[in-house]
Amino acid sequence: MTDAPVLELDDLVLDYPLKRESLFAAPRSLRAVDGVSFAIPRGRALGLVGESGCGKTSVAKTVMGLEQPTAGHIRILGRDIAAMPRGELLGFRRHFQMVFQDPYGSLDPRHTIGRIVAEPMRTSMAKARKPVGDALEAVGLSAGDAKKYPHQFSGGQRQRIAIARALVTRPELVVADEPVSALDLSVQAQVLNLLRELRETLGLTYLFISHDLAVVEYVCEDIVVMFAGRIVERGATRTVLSAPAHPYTVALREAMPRIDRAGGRRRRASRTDDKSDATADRAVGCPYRPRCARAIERCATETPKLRPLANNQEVACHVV
Amino acid sequence: MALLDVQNLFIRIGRPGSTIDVVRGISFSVGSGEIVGILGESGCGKSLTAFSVLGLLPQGLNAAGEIKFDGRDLLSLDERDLCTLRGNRIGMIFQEPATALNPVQTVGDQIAEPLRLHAGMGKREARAEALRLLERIRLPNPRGALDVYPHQMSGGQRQRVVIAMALACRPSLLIADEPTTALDTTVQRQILDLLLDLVDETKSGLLLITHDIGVMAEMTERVLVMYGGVIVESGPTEKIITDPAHPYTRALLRAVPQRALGSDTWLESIPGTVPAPSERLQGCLFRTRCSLAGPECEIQPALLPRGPDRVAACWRLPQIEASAPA
Amino acid sequence: MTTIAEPPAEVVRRIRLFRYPGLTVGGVIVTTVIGATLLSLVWTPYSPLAMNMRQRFRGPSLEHVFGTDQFGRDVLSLLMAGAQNSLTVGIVAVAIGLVVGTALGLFAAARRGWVDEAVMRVCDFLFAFPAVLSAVMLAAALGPGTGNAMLAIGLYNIPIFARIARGAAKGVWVREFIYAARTAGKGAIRISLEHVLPNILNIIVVQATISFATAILAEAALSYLGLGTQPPAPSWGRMLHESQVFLSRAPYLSIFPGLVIVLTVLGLNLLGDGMRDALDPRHAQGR
Repeated sequence: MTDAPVLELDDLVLDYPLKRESLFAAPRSLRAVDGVSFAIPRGRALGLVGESGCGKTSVAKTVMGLEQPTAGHIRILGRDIAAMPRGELLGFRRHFQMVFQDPYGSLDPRHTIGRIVAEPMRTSMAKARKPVGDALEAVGLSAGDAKKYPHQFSGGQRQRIAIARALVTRPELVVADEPVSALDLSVQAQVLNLLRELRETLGLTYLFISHDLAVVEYVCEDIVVMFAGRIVERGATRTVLSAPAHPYTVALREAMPRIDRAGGRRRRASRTDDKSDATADRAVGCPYRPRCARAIERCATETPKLRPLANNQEVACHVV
Repeated sequence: MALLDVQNLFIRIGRPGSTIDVVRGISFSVGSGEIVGILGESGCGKSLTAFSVLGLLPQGLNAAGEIKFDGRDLLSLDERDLCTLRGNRIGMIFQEPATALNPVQTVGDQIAEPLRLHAGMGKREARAEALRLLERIRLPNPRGALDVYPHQMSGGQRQRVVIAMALACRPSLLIADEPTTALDTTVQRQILDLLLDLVDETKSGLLLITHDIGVMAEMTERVLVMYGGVIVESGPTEKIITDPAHPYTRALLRAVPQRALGSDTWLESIPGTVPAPSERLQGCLFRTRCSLAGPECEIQPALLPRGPDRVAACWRLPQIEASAPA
Repeated sequence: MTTIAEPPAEVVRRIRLFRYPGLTVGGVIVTTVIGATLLSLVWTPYSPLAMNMRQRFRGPSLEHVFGTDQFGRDVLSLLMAGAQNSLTVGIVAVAIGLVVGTALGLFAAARRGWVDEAVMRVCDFLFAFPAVLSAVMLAAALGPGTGNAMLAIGLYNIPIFARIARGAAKGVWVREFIYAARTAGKGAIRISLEHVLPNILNIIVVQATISFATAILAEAALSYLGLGTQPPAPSWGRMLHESQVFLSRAPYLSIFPGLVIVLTVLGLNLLGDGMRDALDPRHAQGR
């Protein structure tokens, strides 16, 4: 069991049902995740990037058991969580925990910090006191903070509380969905450093979701780029960011506003096109085709599959 | 003369018995065709500064000082005169395009509304002008977009429509409050490019409010860095990015994740949290988080010139300058 | 440069005491009403049922503080005795609506989908019957009386609470802390009780005070139709209704019951608002 990856997704598909147009219309659904496979070995951090609606949050929710996969498997520590009996899953949940995006929304305003942090333990407050205190101290707060309420803390401190909640069961896997994007810049670095430190000291495995490439590179050695529910590119973060292969990854990297481009107004090299947020709605072909400057005929008829490049990099594109 | 000239602006929350100054005596100016940025974190007063220029401060907040637009003091204007300025001479672009648009009105009608109101156009004329504006903001299929409702558009398209509305009456000043924060990176890039083009074409001034150092670096010519309701540093963007003077700006630039791109170094995080307006102390507000703070920091330092075109407010500037640049 | 000086400790203490003026005032009013009601069980100035034809329509005086009615009964005594009835009706009717309605609303919000639809359609169905109509039907089936009136008003309250609870609960269900609770493996019932209910309680408390007021008035209407409290047992609503006939001759007969109802409702509203604030940790402990 020790050499099994901590998290393994096998051809994961997730459909969301849509409202029927009428009582007699066929049920419709939206494919949020379309055949995603990846594995995270113990102690590694994988970053999942892509634009809103690309399915990255849906992947996280499915991993956490908040959504039932339409097809495919999720294995955590080698165990298929969808096939696990309910009672067993309850106990097994302590192995994987989640940190949410919004530190204001993810803490129940009516519960004390102690109760919030103890929540995943499913035990009495008396038994939880020690681990809750330890978890709070591990994230740089004090055990005495357990008596306070969320509104008494700033955004950065709340996110520390949310991290403490995710650590209290001593999990192997932590899923973090945009954990710093709602934080002030001067506080972001604190939380990013905390996540890095905790990973080193506790040997955690991360599935880290973000739209910010620099943040992903800071925390994760591996990266998966998603577009329209599919993986379009993956590999070592540094390789992918320094030499992106997929046109979408290239666009994503180029679009990042950079401090080293300061110099009054940026001189624009190329005029951007306006097919800004288009995706192909047909099931055949590459979903990025409408926005891709390099699209060829084949892109419309055949969905590209992931194929290996050098350096363990993989890309789903006919052109590169 | 500058297009917008703000002198010694205070914004005050008045509660019986106690008042809090959320913005404390800031001065800046924006010229025609110039892009000026206000950089700061939540609660630093950057958005309130923008709202005060438009006379749109929330209830209970008062502005004092001087806000001169084209030579007229906006703070002494009554609501009716302000209304004519707003959406006419000054265009506003908000953060959240989803809520800035009326969901039950077509895009065409919404753009035509200020044209009919301020420019006195007829129905047909306003519609033709709306179409021209939609073409100008490079919306795909502008003719079709006229009769579309906002919810049928994507976030990026909606923000383009918001920009078209702000442009409708050919304003000489645009104020954009976090215009791309709610958008995806690739869409953000397009909106930023559009804003740059518009400023180039129309020669209007742009006051860009953002918390994103990257956006600020790429877009603006001059920047004001705000912390706790005061300007701690201002000057040409490039110089501030490459050689920041104030300890806050220096710390911020060292804490940006981009700084660690392609290396294994750790970011230098800033300890503590941004103080809420109600817990502000006397003196330099950054001193509780500053590694250089000393006893003199309990007195508010004045903005002192640092070179010909920059200012910074810190007692420790001589020491910082003596040491190697950040 | 402004600084916010710490106010002296004595001032802080005083502010604490008066932090919830609504709660204090509402509490005093409600306590007085309940006190008077309890007192009426053992003592009233006059027997509330004793008629005295020679003392009819006496205006307020030292002898009869609130005057006497068309049968020469003491209005103050009637009001005190009638409070038993009116408060019971209010409490029971609200309790029925609150408990059943909130449970239904929480259930609908938690299950979503067709269960939600079904529960809400049933509520719409119930809602379509005016309280008086359902009371008439109940009375026809079970016979008139205070108990059935309470049941009818309670039934009428169920869809009101169900709708409000469901609407508010749906808003809570999409918040991230619910996801956090779900990842902890909590089921829908536990989440509803531990996370959703505390976060919608304020809205429900406010609705309860409003419903209490309408329950007292609905009971009055039912009594008027002969379906509620049966004469000669006194009730505030019936007193208000019966005095209408003498509005020009003896206006105080309408004013005092009306005033008592208004004051009680106001007291409950203040109490409800104050409780909502006091229940909220954001208000309860200063920053």
